[in-house]
Amino acid sequence: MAKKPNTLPEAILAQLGSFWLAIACLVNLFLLTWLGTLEQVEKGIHQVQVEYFESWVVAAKAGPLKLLLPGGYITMGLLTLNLLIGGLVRIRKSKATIGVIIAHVGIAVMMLGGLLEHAVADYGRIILHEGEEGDEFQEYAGWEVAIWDADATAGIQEYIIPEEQFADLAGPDTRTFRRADLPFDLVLGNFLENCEPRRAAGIVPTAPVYEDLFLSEKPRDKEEERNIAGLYATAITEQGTSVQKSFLFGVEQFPWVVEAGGKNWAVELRHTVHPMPFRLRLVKFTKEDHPGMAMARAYSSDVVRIDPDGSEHPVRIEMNKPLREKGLVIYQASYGPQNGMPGEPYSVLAVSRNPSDRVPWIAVTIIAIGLVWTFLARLIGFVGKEKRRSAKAKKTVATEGASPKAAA
Amino acid sequence: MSTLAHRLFAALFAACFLFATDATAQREVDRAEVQNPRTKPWPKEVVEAFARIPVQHRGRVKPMSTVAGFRMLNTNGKRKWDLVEGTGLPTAPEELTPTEWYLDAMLFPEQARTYEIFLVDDNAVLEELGLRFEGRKRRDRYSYDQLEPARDTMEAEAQRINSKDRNARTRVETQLLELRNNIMEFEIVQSTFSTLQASIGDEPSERLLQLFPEGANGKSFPMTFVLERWGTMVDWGQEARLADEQDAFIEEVREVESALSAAIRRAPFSLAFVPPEDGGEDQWRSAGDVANLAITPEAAAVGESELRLMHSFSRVWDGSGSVDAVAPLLLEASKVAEETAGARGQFEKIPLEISYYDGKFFLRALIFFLLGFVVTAFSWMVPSKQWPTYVTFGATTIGGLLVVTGVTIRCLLLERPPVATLYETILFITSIAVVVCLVAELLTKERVALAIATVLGAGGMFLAMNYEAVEAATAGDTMGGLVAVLNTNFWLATHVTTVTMGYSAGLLAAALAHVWLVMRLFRAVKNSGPELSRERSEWFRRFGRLIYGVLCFGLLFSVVGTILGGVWANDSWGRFWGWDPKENGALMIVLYELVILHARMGGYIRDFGVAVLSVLGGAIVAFSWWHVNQLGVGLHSYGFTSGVLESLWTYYYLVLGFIALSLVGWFLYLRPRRTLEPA
Repeated sequence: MAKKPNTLPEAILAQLGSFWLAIACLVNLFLLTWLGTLEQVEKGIHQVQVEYFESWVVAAKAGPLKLLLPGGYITMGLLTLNLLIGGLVRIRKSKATIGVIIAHVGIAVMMLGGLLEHAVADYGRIILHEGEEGDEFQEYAGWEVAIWDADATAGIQEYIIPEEQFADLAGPDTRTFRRADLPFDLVLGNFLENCEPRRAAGIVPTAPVYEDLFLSEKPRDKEEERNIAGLYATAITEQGTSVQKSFLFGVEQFPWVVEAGGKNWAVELRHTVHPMPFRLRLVKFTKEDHPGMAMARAYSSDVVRIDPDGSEHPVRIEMNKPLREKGLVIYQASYGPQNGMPGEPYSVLAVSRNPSDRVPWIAVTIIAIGLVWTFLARLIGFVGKEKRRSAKAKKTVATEGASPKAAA
Repeated sequence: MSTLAHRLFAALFAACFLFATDATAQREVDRAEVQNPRTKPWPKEVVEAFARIPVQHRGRVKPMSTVAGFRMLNTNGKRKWDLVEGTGLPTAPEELTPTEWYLDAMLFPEQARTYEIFLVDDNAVLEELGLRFEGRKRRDRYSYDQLEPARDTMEAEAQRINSKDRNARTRVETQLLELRNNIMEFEIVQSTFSTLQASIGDEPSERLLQLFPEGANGKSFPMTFVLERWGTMVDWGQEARLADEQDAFIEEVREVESALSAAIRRAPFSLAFVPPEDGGEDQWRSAGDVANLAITPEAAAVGESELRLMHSFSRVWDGSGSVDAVAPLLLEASKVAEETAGARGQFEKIPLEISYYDGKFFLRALIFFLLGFVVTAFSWMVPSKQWPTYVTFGATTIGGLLVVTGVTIRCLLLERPPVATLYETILFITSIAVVVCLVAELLTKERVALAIATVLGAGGMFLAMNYEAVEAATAGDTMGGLVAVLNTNFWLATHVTTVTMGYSAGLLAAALAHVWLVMRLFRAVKNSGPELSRERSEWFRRFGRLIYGVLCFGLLFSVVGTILGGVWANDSWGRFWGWDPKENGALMIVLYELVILHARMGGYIRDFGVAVLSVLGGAIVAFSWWHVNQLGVGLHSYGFTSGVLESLWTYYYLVLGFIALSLVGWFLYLRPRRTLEPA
């Protein structure tokens, strides 16, 4: 055990590296995981993930009660500090603790990987029909407003307003977005996380109506991907002399077109798009069912990766065998339509850009080494003790057996 | 101690007696009115040959005996049925295997319809159908003939229930659906051979009689003759169209056409026993499929071997009604089926699968574990004797070997690692727990780990046998096909096996902890306090170390398994961790075991605390193993089973009750007390 703290910083460090803090963090993380899992039934995975694990504090539902618990950020932060201070710095370094230290290093590596992933990783998907090409992937849940010159045929430049800049605009609040090189100001407001366009005829609309349609708010779906966002937009051109209004719906087929500065400008609300460093062309999608059953036993996509220099590289992406290239990992995720005709199928490829993609492999190897070391050391110690005990017991029996003879 | 042991022993014998005997009293059976009953038992070689016929069912090629076995398990609740005396049938009393039942259903359908083999768990199902039977128990068995009057009502009710949300269905409605499915399956089975027949009617046209002379005098003949001569009938049809005499032509061939149509209509439900000659085609065909292909312009798609096999099956019906007549036909059909499947390399595993089910490895393992437990209980009464320990060790080792053998054969049959379904996790977890217990026993020689091995082994086998029936009802087999993401031997062999070994160790630690607590509190009550002799104290410490060691073992596998699961998810779905309930369950085990180990290392708990927390750990493993699958959320929400949640809650309450009692015992007898010495 480390020496007794004499100064305040030492005492703080001692507490941060203490067993009690480790236990408290682990218990709290356990409670978050358990209660969060149960609450997923009502709220869905994504919502619970945000509330329980990507939060500072959470009012966790425990049956009829609400427990105020530190959220994932506080718990993981303290646990990381505790691991570094108590499990690596202050821990007694001896033969007996080598395995534990190694395991702690592995956990630290994994947490570091997790932090990196949380900070910079992007996830999304690209949907391709046979013969179709694509060079960008869309996020599953995040939204953005994109503006571009609708008349341009090449070198299209997009102006992006990310979700965090309009997600708080519920109700009457609005925000104006302005750029010197855009001939209009865009005023966004009335953001709806989940909605659908409805005809205003015959009902009292709950939001402004354009072309007999308005965005009707829907309850948030627990499956995050099923939530389709909507937003009201006003384009103000020429110092406010011309005002064009509409709403933007997340899965609208065509963008809203604004006339300004003698050009047409497309404005679209869409899932956040990330460019890929190469193009992908789907050559063939193959789905193989178990014989006589409507259950897929394998599905795969034969694609061609087209690099910026034009070189083409045929690749097969299948379940459990993703394509790793230029910092992206591309997986066979799904397909559709479920009952499509020949020639109709499309392949859904999940795409991730995660710099810590291989960190779990490294971490699990280190942790396994540490735990195997610890377990074997304890097992060998246990067996040795048992052997000594057994030998001692035999000796005692032998001595007791010999006594009467000796006495005789 | 001896009184307690004596009572325990008596209770155990009573339990074994109840287990060994059917506690239900026999009622008077109904007489079966059968015109043409089977007059002698099925010859062994015929049963074996029929059992060997390969069929493709639920995506897998398997022996007929496997299909029959699971069908009987679904219908009857067990894999045998007794034809009892009093029915008036010539061969009674007779114990029928699933294969023999199938033979009767297919070739003596009138007799099979009198078998009271349809298990109804709650007679409220029958009341729902408007059926009443006097002198029957709430849970009883009925024959097809007894249920047949309510067949239409059953169908209407099934349609109504199917339109309801699955979660809104009552228990009786669910049982009604199951009964209706069993009835439907039986109807399909009994028509297996009869629908391979065709007829030209009593008054055929002259040319039709010339084309099918086998059908003279209204006799039925193999469907394959129709397929072979279909071209001629097509020509007649074209001539009739040109002559504008289609109606007359349709009337002329009505009998032939209706037999063919019936077979084609039943194609999706019938047994797929015909392997396609085209090696690139992996979907086997039923008779209806073959017929359908043979009469279409793509007739060339049906190979000669397919027609030959179908012909040999069609001929079997010629011998129906007589065991002696049908036996050679069945032997021939089996031989042709074996050759046809063998030509595609799909027969090799059939004998092994038959041996697997005939071997009854898990039932036999259960018997050995129970034997071990009984002898262990006996050994508590005579602690000085060594032989009961040897017998228990031997019985448990044999039980363990039987489980391992069964699991190994499954791996060979399925060509994949042993854990991919909930049923397989039960087998694997039990085998690991038993093996670890035996190793622990060799190390400690205290007979405690040995006793626990017998309990876990028997409990695991009971659970496996019960859950087999559940999987039979939902998946039709316990060796069903896997979804695409699971079709990877690398990850099944690494992640699934390691994480399952973690479950196993967690449950084993919980079992050991139960024993530790009972013995420690018993000793405390006996001594009216925490004091122990030096030897006894050392014994409890060693036992505590054993629990701690098993927890370390569990943590190793749980941590590695959980992270490997993340790595697999990263390769399959593109994310390492998605807070999916199954992932969370595995994480909970890891976190919980870390809490125990850190609390012990930090000196917050000692052996008693480790034991209490380990008992609770068993409930956490159960939550992770079973409960999360019932939540209906996430990518792992497979294996939903009615009744599981009730069992889980019962277990949780028992665990909490046990812990509460242990804490009361600790407060009364074991808590440290400060005492003042007299001045």
